[in-house]
Amino acid sequence: MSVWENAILERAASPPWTRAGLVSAGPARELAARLIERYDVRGGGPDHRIGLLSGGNVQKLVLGRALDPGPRLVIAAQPTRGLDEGAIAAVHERLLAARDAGAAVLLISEDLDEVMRLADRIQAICRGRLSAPIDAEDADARTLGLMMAGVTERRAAPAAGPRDAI
Amino acid sequence: MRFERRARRPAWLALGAPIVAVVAAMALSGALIRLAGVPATAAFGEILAGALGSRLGLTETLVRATPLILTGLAAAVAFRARVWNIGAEGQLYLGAISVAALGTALEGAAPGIAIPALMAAGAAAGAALLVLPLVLRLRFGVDEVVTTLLLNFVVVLFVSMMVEGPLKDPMAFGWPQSVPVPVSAELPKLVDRTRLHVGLLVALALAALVHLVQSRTLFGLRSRAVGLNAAGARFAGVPVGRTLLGVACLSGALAGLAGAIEVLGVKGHASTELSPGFGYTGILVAMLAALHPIGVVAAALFAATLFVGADGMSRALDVPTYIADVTVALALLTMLVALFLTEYRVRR
Repeated sequence: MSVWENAILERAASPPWTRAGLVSAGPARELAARLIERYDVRGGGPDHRIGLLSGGNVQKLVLGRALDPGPRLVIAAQPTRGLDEGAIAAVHERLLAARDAGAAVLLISEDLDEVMRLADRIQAICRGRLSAPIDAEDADARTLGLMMAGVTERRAAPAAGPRDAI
Repeated sequence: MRFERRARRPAWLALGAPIVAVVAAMALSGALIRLAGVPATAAFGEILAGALGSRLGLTETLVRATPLILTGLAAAVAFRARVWNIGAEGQLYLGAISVAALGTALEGAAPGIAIPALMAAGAAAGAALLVLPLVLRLRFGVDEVVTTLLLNFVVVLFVSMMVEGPLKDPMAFGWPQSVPVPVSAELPKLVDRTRLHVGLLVALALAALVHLVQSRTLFGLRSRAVGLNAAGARFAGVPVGRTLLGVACLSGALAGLAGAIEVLGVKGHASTELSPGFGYTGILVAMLAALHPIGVVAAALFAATLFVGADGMSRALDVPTYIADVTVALALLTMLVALFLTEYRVRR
C-alpha cells in the first residue's frame, strides 16, 4: 500500500477522494504530498510503500492524517510509545498546535514527563476510579504518584487520622 | 549472512522473479525426469509440443486454463484481504450443480437470457457458500481455513447425491451425471471443431476487471488495507466486516462461475468428475502470480500447458503425468523464494 493510499484511507468514502466508488489518485497524491511536507514525513514520496517508512515517520503521517482536517476532538492514546526523540518532539508539537487551534485534546499516556509537558489538566485512573483533575502547574512527580496510587487530596490530608485506627 | 528489507522494488525485479522461479522449477523437475531415465529436454519438448504445438493442443490448453484463471482469481482476491478461501473447489461444484438444476427451468429460453442467467446463478451459489464460513469467522471466530476446506467434501457429496438422485439424467445409461443443460444455454465455440468456448473471454475480462477493482476502487483499497493490517484498517474507519463480506462474495462468485462455465462450455452437465482439482490448483496459480490478477492469467496458462502437455509426454516417453503436478508445486516453492528475494536483499 502506497503512502497516498494510506493517507486517504480514513476519508476515502467522501467525494474529493472517491467518485462513484473509484479512487481519485490525483487529489490523493496531492494530499499525501502536503502531509509529507507539513508533518515532516521522511523516507519517500506519495508513491512510496508506507510499510518501508520508519515507525516515527509512519506515526507522523498518521498524525497528519488525523489532524489535517482540523478535528474538534483529538483522543491521543500513547501517541509516542516506541518513537525516537525527534519523532516524539514532532508529535508533541502537533498535539499542542491542535490544542491552540481550538481542539479538545484528551491525551492518554503512561509517560509522566510527557503528561507534565503537554497537559493543561491532569487526572489519574486508579482501580477504575478517576481522580479529581488538577492543573498542570500544580503537578509534580510526587502529586502524580499519589494520584496514581489512588490517594486523593481529601484522603491525603487526614492520612494519619483516626480512620486508620479503626 | 543476513537479510535486509529492500527500500524499493524495481519493476524488472517484480517481473523477473516469476520467470526465474519458473525456470528454476523446470530445472528441478528436469532433474526428476532425468532420474526417470529420460532426458529433461526431450520431456519438456514433448510437453510443449503436446500443449502448444497443434491446433487441438493449443485450444485444449486454453480450455484447461479457463477455470484455472477463475479459481486463481478467486484465491487471489480472497488472499489479498487475508480471507483464506481454500474452498474454491466446493464453490465451483455448487456453482455447477446450481446451473444443472436451474438449466431445465430455462429450456427454450434465448441464449442471450439463458447464458447470463445461469452464469449469475452459478456465481451466486459460489458466493453464498463462502459467505457462510466468513460470517462464522466474523461472529464466532471460526477459522475459515478449516470450514472452507471441509465444505469442499460436503459439497462434492451433495453433488454426488443430486446426480444419483433428483437430478440424475435418465438417458445417460446409468452414469451418475445430471440432466444436460438446454442446447440454447451452451456457450458458443470460439474455434470450430474444438472445445474452446467463449468462457475464456469471460475469464480474461474478469481478470482485467478484478485488477481494476483492486487498484482503483474504494472497495479494493479497503480490502487491501484489511489484508495488510486489519486492526489498523479498523482504526482508519474501514468497515472491516462489510469489506470482508464483499471480498467473500467476489471470491466465491468467481469460483462458482468457474463451475458454471465448465458446465455450460465444456461438459453440458454436472457430475462429480467435473473438476480435476481446479479449486486447489487455483490456490497454486494465485500464489504463483503473487496474487496479482493479471499474473493469474499467465500462471494459469503455465499450469494448463504443463497439465495438457504432460498427457502426451507421458504416452511418448513413459514418464508419469504426475510430473506436471510436481512441476507446478515446485514452481510454487521457487516462487515463494523468489518473492522473498524481491522483498529482501542478502547482506554478508
